[in-house]
Amino acid sequence: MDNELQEAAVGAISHVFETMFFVFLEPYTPESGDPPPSPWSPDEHWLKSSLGFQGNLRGHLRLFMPFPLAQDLATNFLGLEEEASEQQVIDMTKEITNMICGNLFSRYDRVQGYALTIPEAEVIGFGESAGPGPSPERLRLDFLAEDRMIRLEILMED
Amino acid sequence: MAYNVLIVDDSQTMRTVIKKTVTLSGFEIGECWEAVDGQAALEALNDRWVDIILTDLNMPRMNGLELLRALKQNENYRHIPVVLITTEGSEERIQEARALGISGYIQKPFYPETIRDTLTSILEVVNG
Repeated sequence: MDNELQEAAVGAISHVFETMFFVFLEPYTPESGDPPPSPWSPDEHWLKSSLGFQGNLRGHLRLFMPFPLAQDLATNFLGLEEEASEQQVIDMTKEITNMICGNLFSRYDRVQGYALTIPEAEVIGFGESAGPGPSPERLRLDFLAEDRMIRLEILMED
Repeated sequence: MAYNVLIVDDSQTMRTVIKKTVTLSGFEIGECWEAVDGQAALEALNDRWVDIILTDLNMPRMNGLELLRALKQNENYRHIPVVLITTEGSEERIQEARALGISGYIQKPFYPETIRDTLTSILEVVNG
């Protein structure tokens, strides 16, 4: 996968989380020897959000986040006194995904516009966040946010 | 002077965030209304005085650029400055929006100062 695209992806997701939530992401790779994120529960629900992009490149971008983390972010972001509802969390996650993708392609290709589909998001089981590993057509990036993992995937078509 | 603002975005979360950010930035808001898309925005304008419109780009039914075209074709609304707040930031998209008469363009995510400075500069020009 294109190194420039990977750099743009890292820059975009970092910028979105820092600007919107004041959360600083650290890239995570198991090979680094760093301890795995905690808690790491197979029973935990996750959020999966995705949208399609089309321009010089075509494909899908997916964001995976533990639901508790997304809920904390949404509660703080919206300035709520009570925990954000599932719908509010889903809505916020779709918006994050939208921002990451828009930022990514602004960095990657400043000239050419990219059409983005309206994002979709759903609550999933932990196992669904794994899926097939990285490949030439699938860029997978993991990050730590407040000791929890966030996963970004870009799947290229054609 | 307080200004009446119309926020147009299909995301409830984003409408809330924009409203809070505009308020926190120190920009003086009179009334603040919300619409879920361009069509709802046009309906809202029927019985409200709006000084500035902040709109997303990608929305169902009527997107931001379609809303802008509709506003410019209506003599009652063509004077209202429109700021596009969107995730897209390509030169191609910005040029397309400017050609249609957008007054400002802010890429998400944004800092409060960016919104405040953009709105202030636009409305100072409008009001002379």
